[in-house]
Amino acid sequence: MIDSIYIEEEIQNHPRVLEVCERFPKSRRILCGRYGEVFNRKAQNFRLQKYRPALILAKKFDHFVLDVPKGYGIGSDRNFYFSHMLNCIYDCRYCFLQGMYRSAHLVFFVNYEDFQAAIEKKTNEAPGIETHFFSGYDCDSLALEPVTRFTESFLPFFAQLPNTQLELRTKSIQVKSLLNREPIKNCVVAFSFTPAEVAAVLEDKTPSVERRLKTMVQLQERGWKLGLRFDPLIYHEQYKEQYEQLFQDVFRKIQIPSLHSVSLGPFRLPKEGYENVYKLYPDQKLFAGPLEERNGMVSYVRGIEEEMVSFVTKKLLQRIPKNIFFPCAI
Amino acid sequence: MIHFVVALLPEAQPLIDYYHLKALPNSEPFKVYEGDGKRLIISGIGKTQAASAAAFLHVFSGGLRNQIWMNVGVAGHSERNLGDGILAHKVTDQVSGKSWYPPIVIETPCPTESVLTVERPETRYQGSWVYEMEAAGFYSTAVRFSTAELIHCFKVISDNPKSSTKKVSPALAKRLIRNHLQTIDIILKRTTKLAEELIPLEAAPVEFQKFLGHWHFTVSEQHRLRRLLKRIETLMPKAVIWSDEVQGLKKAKDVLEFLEEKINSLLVTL
Repeated sequence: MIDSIYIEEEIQNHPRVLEVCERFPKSRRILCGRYGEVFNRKAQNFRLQKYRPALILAKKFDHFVLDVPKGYGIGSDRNFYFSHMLNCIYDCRYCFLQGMYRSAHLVFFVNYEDFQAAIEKKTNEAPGIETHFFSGYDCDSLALEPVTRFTESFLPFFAQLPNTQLELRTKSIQVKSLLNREPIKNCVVAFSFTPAEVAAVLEDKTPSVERRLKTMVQLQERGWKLGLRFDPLIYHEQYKEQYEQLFQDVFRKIQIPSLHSVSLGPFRLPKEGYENVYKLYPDQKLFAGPLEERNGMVSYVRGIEEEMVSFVTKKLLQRIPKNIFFPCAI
Repeated sequence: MIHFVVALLPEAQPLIDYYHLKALPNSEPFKVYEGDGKRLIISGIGKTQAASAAAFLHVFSGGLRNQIWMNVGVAGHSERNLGDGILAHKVTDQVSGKSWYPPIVIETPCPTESVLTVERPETRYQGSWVYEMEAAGFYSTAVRFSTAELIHCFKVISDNPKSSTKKVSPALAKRLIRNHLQTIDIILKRTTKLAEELIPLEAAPVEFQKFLGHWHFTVSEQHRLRRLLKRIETLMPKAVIWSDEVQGLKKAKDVLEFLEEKINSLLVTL
């Protein structure tokens, strides 16, 4: 799966680096100075690299914890995100990452302890106020779990951190590490969904909707708090029937008491990101359709977006209580 | 188009023969060979020569972007056997210390290694590098013209601690490269597949020129026109865009609005 591993010289003997290398004994190992020498350089093509992305093992030096843009959130006013990885093994055509980075390589920051110190510091800045930390913005939180062992390190850490909530956002079924331990109260395992027909076309390399649901049921039975993320909403002629079907499938299996939160957001990309993605995939109908720029974001033309958000919201609120519903307010 | 940059004729001759390349007139100060979608330039020894040759060949070939580039040559190594063929996964300029990392996006038919570009032939072979004299100049120049996934350096080991550079004769260099023509060809075929994926993405919409010939579009309007036509092609590959209705429009602005409305009125499918 991983043919090439780039390793920053400084961390070549870090225990997590050695562990990852052991896991991929046949991969070529290439030493580099800083990961920026390899990742996101000019004259790289995300689309071509996606065929065989390399793994880059790196150390992060700063900006461990970042503000979540206003309008996102699942119940707290104090929201931050952190990224132990950049990029994703999946290939979702709507993903903003393909417009953000020139490189499709997967960057894995191995210095977890520095992230945790920054999270702790951020929490201590506002004692008594609930602070939410999101881990799946620049990557899928769990997709590379057997390699990163992210939860093994971060769940015990968050378990002892009062007034915090950790969101693991994923499309992955790599939940063995969660099933093998007791759930922690302040962790939401949030799964992203589009209808199965949309996923089949636009979510390459991801587990099917059915398998994701099966995984959610396993977590539900184990007592983990769950989240549902219908973001982005993808428009097409049959979207009403397909979202209706998706909701029927989801809520037949997922019980409301297990749900911490449900959110949705229309398809949107920052203008610059859209331009980059369009150059990579001008042959993709998603980017050729009825889109327009509003306030620096490219999204569906207003009429379509409003109709779709309104329909999906209505259908969701027929099934879930309003207090766990958090539509993206961008 | 595949562009070869090779330091010396003995290293180039196997490629010239294998791909039936013919010398081109008017390519001074370099010697350029061409045939069936390939061009080869003899750069001379050293990274500056390799950089100059790559830049020359780019301009000589019409300045097209995202073409395939390959530097082929012989090299030294501390441990590897004579005759081993290596694809570079890292190229470092010994003088500046700067490194480049050719992304390996294809399945490789040979081992990959780090290449060190030195100023003079290496005799001590202290590190586990592929020692040679052109790759850094070649790569740093080629990457200005093409996406990194399409640029490769392929080296055949001609000297090591047991067999010094003094023993590398033109005949040996020729033989070493000739033994790896199949490997080079596999790398090029796999890289060509990648390059082919980019061609339709960069192509102008089929009817773009017709529109430009019919109305006057400003530069920014041309960009918008190109984008709108491409979007319609993507959404409806068989659509007749150059219709009587379009041709009846008076101004470029009307055309752009018409196309925008057409996109927004199409049925949206996945």
